[in-house]
Amino acid sequence: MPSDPAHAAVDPARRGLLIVAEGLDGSGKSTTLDGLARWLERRGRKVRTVAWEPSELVRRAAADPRSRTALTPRVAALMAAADAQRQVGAKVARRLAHCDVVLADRYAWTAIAREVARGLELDWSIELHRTLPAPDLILFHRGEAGSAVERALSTRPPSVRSAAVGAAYGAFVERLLAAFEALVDRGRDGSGTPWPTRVVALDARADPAANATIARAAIRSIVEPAGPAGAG
Amino acid sequence: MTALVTGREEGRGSPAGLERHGQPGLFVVLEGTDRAGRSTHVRRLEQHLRYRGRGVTRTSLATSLLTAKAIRAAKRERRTDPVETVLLYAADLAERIEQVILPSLRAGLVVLADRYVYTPMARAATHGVDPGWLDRLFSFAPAPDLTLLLDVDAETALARQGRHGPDRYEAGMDLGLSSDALESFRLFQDRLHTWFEAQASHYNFTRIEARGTPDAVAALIEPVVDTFLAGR
Repeated sequence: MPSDPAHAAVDPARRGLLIVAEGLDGSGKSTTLDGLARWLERRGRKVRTVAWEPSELVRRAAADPRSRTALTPRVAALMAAADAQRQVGAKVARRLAHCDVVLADRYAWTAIAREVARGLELDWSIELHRTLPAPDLILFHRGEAGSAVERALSTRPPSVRSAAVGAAYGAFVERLLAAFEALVDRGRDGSGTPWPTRVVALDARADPAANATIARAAIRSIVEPAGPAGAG
Repeated sequence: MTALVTGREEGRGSPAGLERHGQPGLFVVLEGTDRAGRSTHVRRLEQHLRYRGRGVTRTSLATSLLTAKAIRAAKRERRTDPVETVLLYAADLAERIEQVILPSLRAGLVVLADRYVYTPMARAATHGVDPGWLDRLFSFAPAPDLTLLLDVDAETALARQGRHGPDRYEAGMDLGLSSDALESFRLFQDRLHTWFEAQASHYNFTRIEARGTPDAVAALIEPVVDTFLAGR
């Protein structure tokens, strides 16, 4: 983790790295990560991909009609954070300890954006996820609400693809986008995302090859930090 | 852009943490280490208040609909990540605040809580979790009107052990303080006791000397609560 001096002391080209892709549905996260995995493996790194899985505790509670009243945004956020600590945090920490490169298809930002879109306070939600291993790099895929709504609805049964559902989901996606942008702003001014992690914004509409070049350059800047003049 | 609730403007996250609930009811918490007599005195205080015509709601740790089972499972499986544990307790508490504590306070009842945010905070802090993060995590919880700290030292707590002795959790066996459960219990409860003592003024605890018999301790508690009620 960047904030861990012992971790930072290890050769940056060999130590564990956590690279996170964030953004709306259909914004190109998987494409970016697939390309990075191949590129990193060619460079001799052992790569593991982890996904931000939905919380099993929350899923079970949501499926039980007796529980739905109690499953408020705050309760769901805390249950999901407990699950994430075990299912994602512990797994990522183990891989980093083995000096693997961990590519995360969504991470805490997705949880924070969803929690904020459901009305929870941004500061509190950021704190909730601070204990997860800190990423070395966050690749934010800046996409449009419209295409995310279209993509999400296309996977739902026709019965729920009504204009009303689309409008409600559209409003939710707009709130997600606002939360992601607030996190990008915090990454820029150093006020915590929740970690002091470098954030690189990629344009979801851009050529994937161009985004891959930007992502690779960002990783190089971490594993091949600028040495003395003339070194490189 | 959609407005976000950041939480900053609400003053959340201050060291003493919690904000007033602002409801007509009265929120009384009994806190303290294991074997301090909390459950006994919550029951006795409930009866005392009912005989004075007060409507009372009682609530205790790990009794929520959604998370109590998960907490029991984590204990059964001997999961020891203190962050995961404290997040589960926070979820349990959030549900009880939303579904039991605040509605009862709105209805003008006295809410008696057998432990509140302080026990999970004490347990997590003694397992090395950052106290500042714990304050911010629990900033959603309303401040009690009165928190009674039932004060017993670790030796007294040890002497109150039943035939079956402490469970692993009460004995803090995961900390590796001692391979002997009773000795581990004594050492762990001593750490908790030290935490409660150190935080007494920060969280405005009213200390009750609780080494005496149940009758003697009740005779100390009831006048404190009666005086507090009379002043409102």
